[in-house]
Amino acid sequence: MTVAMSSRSTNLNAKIADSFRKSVRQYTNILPTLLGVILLIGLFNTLISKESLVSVFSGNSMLDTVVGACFGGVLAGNTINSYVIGDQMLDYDVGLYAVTALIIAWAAVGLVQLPAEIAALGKRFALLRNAVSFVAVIPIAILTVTIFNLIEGKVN
Amino acid sequence: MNTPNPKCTSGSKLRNNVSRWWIFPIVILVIYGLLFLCSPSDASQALRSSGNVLRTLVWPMLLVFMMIMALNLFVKPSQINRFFGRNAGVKGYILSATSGIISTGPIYAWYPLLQDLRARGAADSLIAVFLFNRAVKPFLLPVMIGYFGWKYVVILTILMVLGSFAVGYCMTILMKEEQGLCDQ
Repeated sequence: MTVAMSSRSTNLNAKIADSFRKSVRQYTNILPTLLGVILLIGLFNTLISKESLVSVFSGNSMLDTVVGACFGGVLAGNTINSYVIGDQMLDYDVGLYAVTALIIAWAAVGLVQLPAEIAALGKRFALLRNAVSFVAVIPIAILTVTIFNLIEGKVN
Repeated sequence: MNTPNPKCTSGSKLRNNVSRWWIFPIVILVIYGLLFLCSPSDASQALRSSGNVLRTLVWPMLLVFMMIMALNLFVKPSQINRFFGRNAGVKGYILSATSGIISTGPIYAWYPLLQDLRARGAADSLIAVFLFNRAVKPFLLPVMIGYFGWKYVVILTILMVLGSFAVGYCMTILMKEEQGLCDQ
């Protein structure tokens, strides 16, 4: 019985060691790309100001929704930043459609982290997922604001 | 005809893959170098910002590392297939959506785990559902409500979850689900 327990313990240690090695290998494979993504996010945070962001919106709801989705897909960082930027965009009279599209796309679409997603999940999956998610952002944003305005009794 | 030595071929292919993934960070570092020459203060600020991002990554990546180890130790591929496979059905969609909603930290911290799950047979559609639902942040809902109001947040949250299912379904069609393969 002692021999059996010792054998089980050895097997478990071997499994843990093997599992650890596999996990480390997965991380080291993705680390270079992850490093590049983190450095790129730093560049974006520094070089793109909120004022320059807001100046791009024209006032046309449909166009601004698409532009909002584009910016949301390109920008990266903590999601809470998208709420702050969105709130400031509203202060600058940018429409709620564009703000909603930006907030959704910020987290659901990721151009900056695309290299890391490609490294982990493959080029085809990463490109298709981001494209489909980008397209989905627009009707979701439009529906959200339309329903919200209906509930609030506001005119579009 | 001489057949290539498989060891040499596989070794050089591995080295090519490894060196290929360093191209992107090296390009970014070159951009930083150029930025340092043009505007050292902006470059320093960008580096500091990157450092802040890296700091937020540490705990989520540790958590994901332990989850991958646990997966390797305790979860069989058949179990992955049952809950996250192509035939998981509605249960799979709900589980993926819930997992995406409760996952914390930056998205790229989760890529190694998703890669592992996909290699074990998780469906592309469910991974897409997981990723889209990361836009729903229950811990940040109070902040969002503070900025935009609870009615807006409730409507947006419901539509994002429903939208994620649509994204997952589209991925099923577009990827023509291939079980257990990573198209690296």
